[in-house]
Amino acid sequence: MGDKVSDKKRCGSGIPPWLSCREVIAGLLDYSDGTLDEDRRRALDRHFKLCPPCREYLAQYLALPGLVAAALKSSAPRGLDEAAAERLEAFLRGHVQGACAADAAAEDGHD
Amino acid sequence: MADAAAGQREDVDEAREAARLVALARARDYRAFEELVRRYRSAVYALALRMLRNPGDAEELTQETFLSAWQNLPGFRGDASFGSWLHRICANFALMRLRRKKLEPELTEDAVLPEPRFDGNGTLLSVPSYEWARGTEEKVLDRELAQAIEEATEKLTDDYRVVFLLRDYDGFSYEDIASTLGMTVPAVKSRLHRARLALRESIADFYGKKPKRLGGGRI
Repeated sequence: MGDKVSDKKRCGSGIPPWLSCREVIAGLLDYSDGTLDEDRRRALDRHFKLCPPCREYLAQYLALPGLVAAALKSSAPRGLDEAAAERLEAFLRGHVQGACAADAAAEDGHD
Repeated sequence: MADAAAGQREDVDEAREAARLVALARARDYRAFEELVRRYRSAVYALALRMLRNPGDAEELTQETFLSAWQNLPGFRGDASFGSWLHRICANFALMRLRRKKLEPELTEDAVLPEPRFDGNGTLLSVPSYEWARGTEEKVLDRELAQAIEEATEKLTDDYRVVFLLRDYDGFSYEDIASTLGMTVPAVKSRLHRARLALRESIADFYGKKPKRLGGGRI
């Protein structure tokens, strides 16, 4: 869109009627979360209507989390292998049984 | 339709069984806890590996997570699901490890993240159109693109990568991430936003370098 925002163009609410692309991109997270106030959201909507690059950027921004999650899931490890699972069980048993034995000894001491 | 209903019933049964096991484990039934470990160990390990990027460290972190869970189970109030609670423990421990690593001098903290490019008036320079921005979930990911995304995620500095993964991969709320990582919600949102911008730039660079090799990636 490229209109440089001047003070003359700012409307009564303090929100400029023409936001720069930089300002629009900075507001994308709150826009996509639906947490922008009404004036700001309208200003961004207006910008998207008139600015194809920002419209495209918005589409990509919204699609990105799903795309990345799909990519990471496709390469995700299946989980602990059998040997690591056994080490985990042994580690936990060792620590828990050690703690239980210590508790029992402490209780015996109180008795 | 019938499959979906059956799937929902299975989820409910699964949740009930998990709740029963958690109740037993809270009462110090170690066999019930072992069953919980079997059910959740792969998910915890996967999270640990995403965070730390090293299989050995991830295995240790998985052990620490379950030991801490056993020790703290009596205080678990069940406000969140057991799985979410485990994820938070794991994320906390991961962050502590990452913070310790940062004390090592060879690691640099303030890497520059890629950002969108603007001209002097704040106008966005050209944004090519990509097919992935439309209905990603229905498409099979190109293996090269998946690898490029994985590499781009790994290139993010730890602070940004962890926030991005917790929010966009694991689905934590901003408040949960902020409390888990000891940050403010605005700081979490700022890092998430910058991480997304950086990843978007990396994906655009990937297409820019290999437009012809990817059938239909670019419209």
